[in-house]
Amino acid sequence: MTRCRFEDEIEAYLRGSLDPEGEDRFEEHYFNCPSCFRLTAERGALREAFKAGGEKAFPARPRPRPVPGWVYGAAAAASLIAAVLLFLPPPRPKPLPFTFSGDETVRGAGIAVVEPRGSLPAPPGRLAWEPVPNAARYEVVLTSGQETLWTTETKDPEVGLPPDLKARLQEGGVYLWRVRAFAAEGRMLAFSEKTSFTVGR
Amino acid sequence: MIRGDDAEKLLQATAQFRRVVGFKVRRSLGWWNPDWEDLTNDILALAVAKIQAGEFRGESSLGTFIYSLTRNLVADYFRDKSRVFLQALDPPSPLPGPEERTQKEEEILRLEAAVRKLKPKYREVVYHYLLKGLSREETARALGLTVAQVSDRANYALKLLRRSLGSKFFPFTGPGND
Repeated sequence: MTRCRFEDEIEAYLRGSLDPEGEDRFEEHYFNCPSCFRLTAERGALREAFKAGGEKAFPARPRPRPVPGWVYGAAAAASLIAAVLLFLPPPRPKPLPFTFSGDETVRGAGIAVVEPRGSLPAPPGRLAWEPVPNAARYEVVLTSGQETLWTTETKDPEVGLPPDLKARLQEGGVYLWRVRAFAAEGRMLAFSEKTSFTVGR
Repeated sequence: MIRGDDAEKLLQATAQFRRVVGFKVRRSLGWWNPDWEDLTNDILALAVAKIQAGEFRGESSLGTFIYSLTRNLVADYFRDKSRVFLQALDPPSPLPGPEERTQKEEEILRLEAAVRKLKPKYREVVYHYLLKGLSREETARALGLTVAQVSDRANYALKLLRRSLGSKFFPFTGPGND
């Protein structure tokens, strides 16, 4: 059986030491070469399992070998290189690989919740939050466990709870609510964390 | 455009790529990321749709065609994860769920048992080569062996581990791939 010339690249691929073009070329190859794929997948699965298991997979650690003399020389050279590197300017951080388009934003723009939160003696009369600049409307969701109890929209940074909903908020129940702010053209501007409150405790 | 029996054969051949696509996806997303199965299914479904639509004209091999789709969809996955669509309320967690965690723990126990069965001379090669991720050359230097000795021991140790762990441990290999 002839040995595929790409077999020599399996190890480097699994260790992640091929350059991006080399990695692409090798991956395209194993999509077409069952023999290389079998070897790559087998070794890859073992490597991943060892990575996950770490030292646990080695109940008895292998005995360390006596260190050859040349290792001390290499260590001294490495220390010298490390000392030189310390005085070099730090490398520039790589740019982010992707850009954001106009209808996207970085997660994290939050809405500060005013009330209700925590333990309440009675069902709350309203849900309130800090206004968000340029928000045309707010969308509010109130849930209990997996059930959505109420959703509504408002233009103001607060909304009153309808009486029938208030009546459904049981004593001892845990409720979550969150609010999202939207611009006039429908773009979401910000959202709050899920805020919980309990009634009657 | 490929039609008739040829198209049918292509569709059957596409199904044979499940393992290779799954392996590539799992490796790209992170081995324990639960999204890998869904993404693999998406890629194969897209490959089938494109073949049926006549977009695969046989100018490259089927493997290369499916590899291109896989690479593009994996890139899309990361693009989607690195930015946030404003309509999204709760992003799915990329962390392994309880099922993956249990599977992971079971695999570690089985691996531990398999490693225990190895003779020390194989175990030390496996330790450096597979656990520490050293190359064969580095392993040889660490253990005071020649590269050829490391290669022989590593290959034999892999064979023993494969036999000891069984085919279920290697979801991407087995009958149908060779």
